[in-house]
Amino acid sequence: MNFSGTIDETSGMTMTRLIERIVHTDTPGELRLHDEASGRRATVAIRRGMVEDVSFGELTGDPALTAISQVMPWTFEFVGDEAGAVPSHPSMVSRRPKARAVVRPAAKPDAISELPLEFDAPAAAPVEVPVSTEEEPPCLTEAHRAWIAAAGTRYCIPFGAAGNEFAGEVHEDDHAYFRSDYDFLLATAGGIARSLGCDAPQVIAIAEAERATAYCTIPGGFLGMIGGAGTGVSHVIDFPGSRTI
Amino acid sequence: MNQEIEKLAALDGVNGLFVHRGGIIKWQRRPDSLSIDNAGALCNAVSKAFASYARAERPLMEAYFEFASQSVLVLARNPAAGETAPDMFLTFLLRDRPAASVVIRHAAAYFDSESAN
Repeated sequence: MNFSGTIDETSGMTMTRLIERIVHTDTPGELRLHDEASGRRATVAIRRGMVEDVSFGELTGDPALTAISQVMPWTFEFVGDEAGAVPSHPSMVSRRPKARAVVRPAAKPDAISELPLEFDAPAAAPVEVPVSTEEEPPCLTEAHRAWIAAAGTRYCIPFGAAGNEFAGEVHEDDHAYFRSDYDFLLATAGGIARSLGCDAPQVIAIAEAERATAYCTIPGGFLGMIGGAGTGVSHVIDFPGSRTI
Repeated sequence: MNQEIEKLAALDGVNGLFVHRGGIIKWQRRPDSLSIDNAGALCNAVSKAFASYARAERPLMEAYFEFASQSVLVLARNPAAGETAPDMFLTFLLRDRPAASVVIRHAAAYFDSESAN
């Protein structure tokens, strides 16, 4: 089954919905996308009832899928495989994290409890550290890991990433999602920062119907917090004093 | 409407408030530090960000951006029937993070009362 068309502001269709529909029809093949304005191309391989492979420029996987969903218009062509259809999993196209707090908060506090002004790393005895000329890759500090271990509530899950390290009780399949979400939010915040004459934000949070997510920038990555349905921005921004992280 | 909006703008920790439909400002209490042009740019950037998420089928209800010297808190009114993206926003300039919780509660009550009328 081959078909083609255009997705633009007037078509009433989004790329996410198109991919979902292809998945649901049990039709394996490749969706080839072309942004005629910029000449950029992307491909989404849909096989075994799931989005198997995505590429968009240098991006692959979840970040590519997120980037594709932000572009419009696309012209597309779906080229079906000859191998035939296989059963699909309707949940596959979701870029949403699997692990999330799902309990609706009983009551919102009148105000955020007083935030710690300091983010103290555990005291450590001075030791001689061998000097290396190679730059250390960024990683979470002990203080970050301690915050991730301690900051969870009934409604929210803390996590964090720096360099290649990721910590927190979230599904490992969602690590790329959180990194991509953070990058996209930072880019989104650019216009807001410019209008105010500010540098990049230190804390970013968004609330959707199903969840709220917040990120606090740290060297080489971010601390994060995700809450389930019913949570809002105020539930997920209780980061340690950001200036001292 | 104005009286209720005035109350929101007067909440503790609020440095500025913009009621805007897309990028068009309907009401504002603008701090002296922010020019008219920059206020327009702020509201445009906010509505574009929300529209961008709506296009990705992730409609936002709230957003918060904390900068070194101030924070921006945005609450969106639920989209009208048949619409995918919200078109009415309350964009607050906040002095600090602890103000956000109280402001969100009052702004949500404002939207509720607006939709009830």
